[in-house]
Amino acid sequence: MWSTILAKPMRHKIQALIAYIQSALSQPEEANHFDRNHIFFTALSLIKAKVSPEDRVTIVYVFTEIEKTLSLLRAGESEAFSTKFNRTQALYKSLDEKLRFYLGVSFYPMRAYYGYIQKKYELAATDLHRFFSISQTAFKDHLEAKTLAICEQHLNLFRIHFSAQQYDQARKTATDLLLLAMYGLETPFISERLAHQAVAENQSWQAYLINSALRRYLYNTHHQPQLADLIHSMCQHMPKSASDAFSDAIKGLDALYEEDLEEALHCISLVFKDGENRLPKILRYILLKQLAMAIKDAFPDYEQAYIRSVNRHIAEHILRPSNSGYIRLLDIGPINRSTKIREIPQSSAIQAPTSRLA
Amino acid sequence: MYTLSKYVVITDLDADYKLIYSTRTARFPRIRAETLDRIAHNELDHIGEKTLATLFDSEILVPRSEDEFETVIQSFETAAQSRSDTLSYTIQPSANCQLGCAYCGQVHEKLNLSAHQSEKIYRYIESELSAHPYKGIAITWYGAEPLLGMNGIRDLSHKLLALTQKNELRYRASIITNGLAMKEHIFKELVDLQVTRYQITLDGTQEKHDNSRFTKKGGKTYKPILKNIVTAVHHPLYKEKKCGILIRCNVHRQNYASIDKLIQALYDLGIHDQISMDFAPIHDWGNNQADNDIGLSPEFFGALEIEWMLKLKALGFKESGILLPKRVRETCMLTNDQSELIDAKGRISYCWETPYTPDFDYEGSPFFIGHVNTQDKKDRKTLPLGNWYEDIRAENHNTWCKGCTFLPVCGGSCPTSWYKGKPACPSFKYNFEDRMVMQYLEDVEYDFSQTHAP
Repeated sequence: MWSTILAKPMRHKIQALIAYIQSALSQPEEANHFDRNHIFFTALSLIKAKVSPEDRVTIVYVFTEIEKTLSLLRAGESEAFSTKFNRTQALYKSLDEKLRFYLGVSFYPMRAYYGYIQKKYELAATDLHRFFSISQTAFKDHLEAKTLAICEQHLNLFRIHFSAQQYDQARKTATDLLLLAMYGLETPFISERLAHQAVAENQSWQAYLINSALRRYLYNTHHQPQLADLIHSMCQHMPKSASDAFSDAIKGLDALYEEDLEEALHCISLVFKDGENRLPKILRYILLKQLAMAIKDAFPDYEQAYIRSVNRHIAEHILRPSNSGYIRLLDIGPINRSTKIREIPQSSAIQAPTSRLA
Repeated sequence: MYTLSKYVVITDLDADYKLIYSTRTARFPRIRAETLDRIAHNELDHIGEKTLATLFDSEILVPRSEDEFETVIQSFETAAQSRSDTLSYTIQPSANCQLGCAYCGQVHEKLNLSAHQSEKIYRYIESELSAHPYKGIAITWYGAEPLLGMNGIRDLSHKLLALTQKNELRYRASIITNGLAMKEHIFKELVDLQVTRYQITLDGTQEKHDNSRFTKKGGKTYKPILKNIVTAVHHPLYKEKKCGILIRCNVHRQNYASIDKLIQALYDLGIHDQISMDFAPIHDWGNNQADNDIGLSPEFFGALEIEWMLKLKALGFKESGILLPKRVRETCMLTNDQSELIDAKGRISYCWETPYTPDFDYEGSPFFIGHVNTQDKKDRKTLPLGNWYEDIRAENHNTWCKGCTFLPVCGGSCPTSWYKGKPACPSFKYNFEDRMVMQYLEDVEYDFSQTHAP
């Protein structure tokens, strides 16, 4: 429980932070969409010099069949998928060894996903490890495509570990994956240096990985301790020099979980101080929600104003029919009529900037 | 090794490009004419990977060894065997109708759904619902004229809404009505009962409609129906509950020339952006030979229809931008075990044309599959048309669907029509290339107001 007896400077800090957040949340955000299709075509461009023109056509055909099979599985069309899967698997097995090898970068992740849906987690993980093995050769000359492909499948490996309740492995996989995506940190699963610089410029790709990993912890409130562990693990392993919004958010969240309010306010202020709205949606949601709990305990007179702003933002920018199962508006709680609700002033020294800073 | 699918429609866009519509996937890419030449000459290795992937993904290019018809027909069979998560019922709360349309094949009687029968229907649906973890129910109120059985709609809706609410199921309802009785308070009550989709028929301008859809005593109906439509569209609930009215035009020799004026009249009323329109050629109903008596040739209807579609688009009618069919997974109620029709007597059938139509509705008719009172049902597979995809495969009932390019987007259209010896091809078959070009222009945001001034 947070201490409710706070020094005056802390009250100024929280007042300023809420103003920063209100300003940042009112900024338009860029739509980010991660398009993964180019990974295959990059791989194909690397392969095609090594296969005959006829085989190149076959590779494209089988690839599209694998993708269609995957689409049916994702759409939940179980009967249609079952028929298609059997056909696609037979088609894949009928190919000669060389083509099977190259198409393995597409086939094994599809089959791993099928195993995952069936809760056959070991089989699914085995198929992903087959992919990792093949990808070392298939993407050899193209580090960007390799990074994208390997990270995408490591995200899937994380999902497998998480669903199999192997939380330690899930935390480790997610930590490695996100720190690789954000800072190019080398990890055990990629022994050589990846083309981080190229992919780091792809912010939608980073946001996709961060959102996809973190949302797993929201499906069930019982996973809060695991989420705190993941945040702590990332905080410990991220480069000391990291000073971007992501690292500040992770440090701020970690401090919130550790109930170090002063450090939390400092880090979260850095996230929002430029009036920019730079965090991926799910990380932003988790941070705002966790901060609400701190404010509720430590600054109850600011709670209503903060929650109103955050809820408006969640309703307009984060909550969607597709995520309503795990994204929820913050509980505003009963208003204590004896508590004077403070509105956050929008003037003088603590007014947050409204334009982006250079 | 790979070849152009037989399930494609190709039309010229200009000298360099062609539009190809794959009926297997309803995908619609624009490709270079040169690419088609490459395919024709089996020079696929000269085609870029992304184009190849598009062609394979759209199933425009398929393995030469593939039996495409079997792939398509098996996809229908697979879908027919899979269980939908929604139970669909078409319910006729009345066997009566105020109208005496010349082309109608039903024989009406003064019978509305009784409270007793309504309870039996409810118990039947409740029982069916418990047999599988369904996620929702879809109801279509249909007639004769369903609003003559408003008590039945009211009673059954309340029960079904309570049932779905209790079990946290989705509920949606629509109605096919002549619109004559749909006064403001009835519309409001229907919306309260979650009926949000309406199909109402207007057969042309006032004069033509009144000659086509008159009361049994010969009374005119255009004005009151139109008044009810306008009142509904302007009602606050229409927007609030996202209601939609589809104006259906049954087109025949005597009214086709007035359809254009009807479109204009609806536009002049200012309701065009709140309603959509659909045109259907008069066809046989229960062997009444209406098609022979007053029907248009499919080719002529197809040519007319495309002009009306252009006008709808130019004037900004709702949903006028959907021109090309989607890939279908089932043909109709007949091929979907989770979809049934229940009439005001509680009889269960599997075709809209069965109840109150003398050629199908008689003692011992095989077109009724059971009764809600006994809850006994026959195996559909043993009944006429009970194995429709096998009928297509065997070319039974003189169907030509087996060799038709449009089979994947049509599914054989209306099995009952074929059964009666009437080919049932959809109108788009006769204006498909025009639709493709229109759709392409729509997709590239072509300004249609330049082609057809309001």
